[in-house]
Amino acid sequence: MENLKKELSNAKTTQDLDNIKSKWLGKKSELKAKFDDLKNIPAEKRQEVGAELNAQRVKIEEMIENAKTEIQKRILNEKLANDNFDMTLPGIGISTGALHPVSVIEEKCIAALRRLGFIPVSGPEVEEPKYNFDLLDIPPHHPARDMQDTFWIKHEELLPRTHTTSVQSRYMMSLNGDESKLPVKIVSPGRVYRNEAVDTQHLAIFNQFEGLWVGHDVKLSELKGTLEFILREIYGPTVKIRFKPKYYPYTEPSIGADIDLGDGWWTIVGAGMVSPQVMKNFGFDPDKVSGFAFGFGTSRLAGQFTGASMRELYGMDLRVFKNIKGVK
Amino acid sequence: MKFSKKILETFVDLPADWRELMEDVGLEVKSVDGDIMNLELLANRGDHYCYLGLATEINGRAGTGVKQLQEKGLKYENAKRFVIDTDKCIAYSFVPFDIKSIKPAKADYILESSGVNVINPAIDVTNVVMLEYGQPAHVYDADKIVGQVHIRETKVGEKAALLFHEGLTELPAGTVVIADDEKILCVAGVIGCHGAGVDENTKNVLLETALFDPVSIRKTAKELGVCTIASQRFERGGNLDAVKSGAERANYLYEQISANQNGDAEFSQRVKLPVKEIQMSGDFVRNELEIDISDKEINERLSRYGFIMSDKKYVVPNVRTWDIKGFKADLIEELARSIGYNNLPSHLPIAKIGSEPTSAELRKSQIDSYLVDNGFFEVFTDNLYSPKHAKLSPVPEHVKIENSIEGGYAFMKNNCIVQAVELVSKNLRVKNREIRAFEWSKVFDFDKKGIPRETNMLWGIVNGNKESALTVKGLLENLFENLGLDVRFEYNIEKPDEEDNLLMPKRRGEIYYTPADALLGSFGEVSPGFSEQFDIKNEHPIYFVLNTDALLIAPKKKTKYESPSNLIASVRDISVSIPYGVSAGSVAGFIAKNYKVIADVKITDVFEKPKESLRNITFALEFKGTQSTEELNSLILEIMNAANEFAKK
Repeated sequence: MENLKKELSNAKTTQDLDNIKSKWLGKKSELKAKFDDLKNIPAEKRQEVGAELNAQRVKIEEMIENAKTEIQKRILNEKLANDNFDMTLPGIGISTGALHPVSVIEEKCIAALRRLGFIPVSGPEVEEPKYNFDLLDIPPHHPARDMQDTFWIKHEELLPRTHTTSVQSRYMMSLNGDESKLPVKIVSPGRVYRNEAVDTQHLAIFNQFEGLWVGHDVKLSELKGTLEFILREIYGPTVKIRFKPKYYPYTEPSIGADIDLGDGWWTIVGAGMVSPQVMKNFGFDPDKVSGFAFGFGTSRLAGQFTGASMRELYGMDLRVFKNIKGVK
Repeated sequence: MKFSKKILETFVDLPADWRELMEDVGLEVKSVDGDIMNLELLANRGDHYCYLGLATEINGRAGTGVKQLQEKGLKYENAKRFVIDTDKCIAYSFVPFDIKSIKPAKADYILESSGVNVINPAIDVTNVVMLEYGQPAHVYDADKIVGQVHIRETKVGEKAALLFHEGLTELPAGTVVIADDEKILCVAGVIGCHGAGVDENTKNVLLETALFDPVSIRKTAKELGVCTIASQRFERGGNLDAVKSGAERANYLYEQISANQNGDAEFSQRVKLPVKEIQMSGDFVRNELEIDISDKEINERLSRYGFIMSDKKYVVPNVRTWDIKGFKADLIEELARSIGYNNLPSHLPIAKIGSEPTSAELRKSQIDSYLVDNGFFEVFTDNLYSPKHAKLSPVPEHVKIENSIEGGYAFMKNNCIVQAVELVSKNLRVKNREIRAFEWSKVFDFDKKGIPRETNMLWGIVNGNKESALTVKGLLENLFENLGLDVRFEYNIEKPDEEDNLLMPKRRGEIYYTPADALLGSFGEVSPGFSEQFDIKNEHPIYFVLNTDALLIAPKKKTKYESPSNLIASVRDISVSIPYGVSAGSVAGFIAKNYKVIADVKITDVFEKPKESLRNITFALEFKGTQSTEELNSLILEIMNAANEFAKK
């Protein structure tokens, strides 16, 4: 056994161990020869000798197995010690992109308004003055129809819409004055076009998000409640909100909602009760049917949330969107 | 518009929280510089453009009363010096004054506070009246007027010597002017003219106060490119009552500086404005605003704005005839402002049930997530673009904008590839090579009847070291697999559309929705010739575009679950030498078609041998059923030989 111990201590590899195992336990081993010689041992002693040989074999196997474990451990340790892998290299894989901040805001608004039963609807961006202006009580002489404000594809016949309120006009007209189809609860996010001089904070093409609720006995108090609900969904429950008079041709009364997050008041929403004239234009009796409308400048909200300028948000520099990704 | 707080306080008492109160009633204080307030006024409220209007609005809330200014009454006679020849002049008045002994008007502060120049006492008084009462007024040198004055519309080609303009300016036909027998004295309500102007030698003046049709004034101011305080006031609708009261206030002010009336005051009203009356009960108000308010309080609050109850109806004051349309909602708005929107109740409407996204909305969201997860950034590009962009467009016909003031917005875009490649160019310029971007966009063209139409598109662009047409192909394959859509990809496009022609012919493909055999979109590497027009060199952007009208509604394919087989299929690789010009896909197709024993063919490796103009392609063949090793070896040899022969042909 001392010899075996010595051989095992000299072994470097598992191959060395295999050779030792073959020598000590293999067909040509001394132990195997002793087992073969058992038949020549007198019967009364054979059991005793056999047991002793088995004990020897178990002991040898155990020593070899222990040596094997040691060698494997040593080899593994050497391998781990010699590993030159550099974990400071950049991770491999596709980094994720991001939705546009305006899309994120729109989704947030839609998710909040779905809880009140609103559904998103869309409409054409190339519009007729009837839906963009006339039905909304914006007559031909109104400043909003000025050449300076409106891109005309064909003057007074076709235009890229100046607001998404045109979608509301189309939707309401599709009801043909049928009160059984009320209430209407729609939102219309989308792009709008204004023929204005462009600078870092003003664009000719930007996004709006408008909502309309029309039904029986819809009240100003409910408009206020809805606006407070949306603003708290967007800005959190502690946001301060105030209302003030505004003017829009298609609502009466018209109001604006300002918010204060600690840095002064910002006008965020324009809103109002659908004016009786517009309700008539839509084919409904304003004495029976009422409603409210509201609109956000989602481009402006996206700028406010991210800190990016309008021009950056509507530009093509992907570094802007990578930087915005980290902004919460 | 700028106003002095001190002067406003001579009209109405202001509380300590005056700024909050003013904003609460629609008089937005943009800034305060000492005594000067810069106000943003509501676009429809012309009556706010003067101290009296501001005071009336503030009193509507505060109820402390409006202090009246001193006036000197006038006895009006019928018009002799002038004749109104057009319905665009609603009312007109002349009052003559002797100004030989006139003294300075002491009006410097009120004028300068609002940015109005001090000119001379006779003119300064008219400007004071405008700021106080919102009534534009004008003075003519009475001795320079020849014959009778006519308020009339111009004929084609008539010219006038406008103040602050060089030479003569041709006026649009139909412009309302004040003219004597020889010349045009004034473009009504917009700007004065040389000819009868007041100067240091003037001895007698005619004071003009008038009311003109607001639409006419707005059109004229716009056509002439002139914006004066008078035109701003008139185009929002003036006050019929102030034609006389404004003249009477001027009469008082002139008297204070030794200018005295020296003839008959004349007044004529050509157009009778309708008296607007609104019937509204207290119950209606209580129901609409959901507040407890008495009929008496309603009447009292409305009277502060000049709405007086008469015969159970509220009569609209003349000053508000332009913005009050005659609905009960008009009065509700007045009351809401008087009480304060923040003091009115607020509660959520009763919503019986929320709404769920449609399948198209869910699919769009799924596509968004897929693209974002794969490193794409969503961008918003303009749907209008410049003549330069239009020239680069593969489609020449564009929907044009008639009146773009920004040259960049002359056309509605009819393609997406121009802006997509421009995006690559702009990012390369800032050393950003790794590009994955997409946009939900629209293109605009004409239908068969020549009417503009719009089509919803999803486009994307990819550029970078590891990107190729095959990475985009893989992205799209995985996208459609995720969406569960049955599509097929086709190459060797025989009749590419205009946009696809900008992609490299052998590095592009089309995607068809198989059940309808409908083209869903295309993709491919942008042709170097097109990229170079954006100064892109040694880069290989890959573009894709999908018609989203079809993409979002195409039904998913129906698939049944199949348990995985316990039999592990035999898979063997073969290598085939394929000359350049022969597609690997065609060889794979040959094998699959001719050997029914093959369950699947996959291309697993490509080794280019450019010197020999060929590629070694490794195909992994999956066999159906069970075969012995000898059978498999024999089959593989046969397939490899046949495939090599096919490739050579």
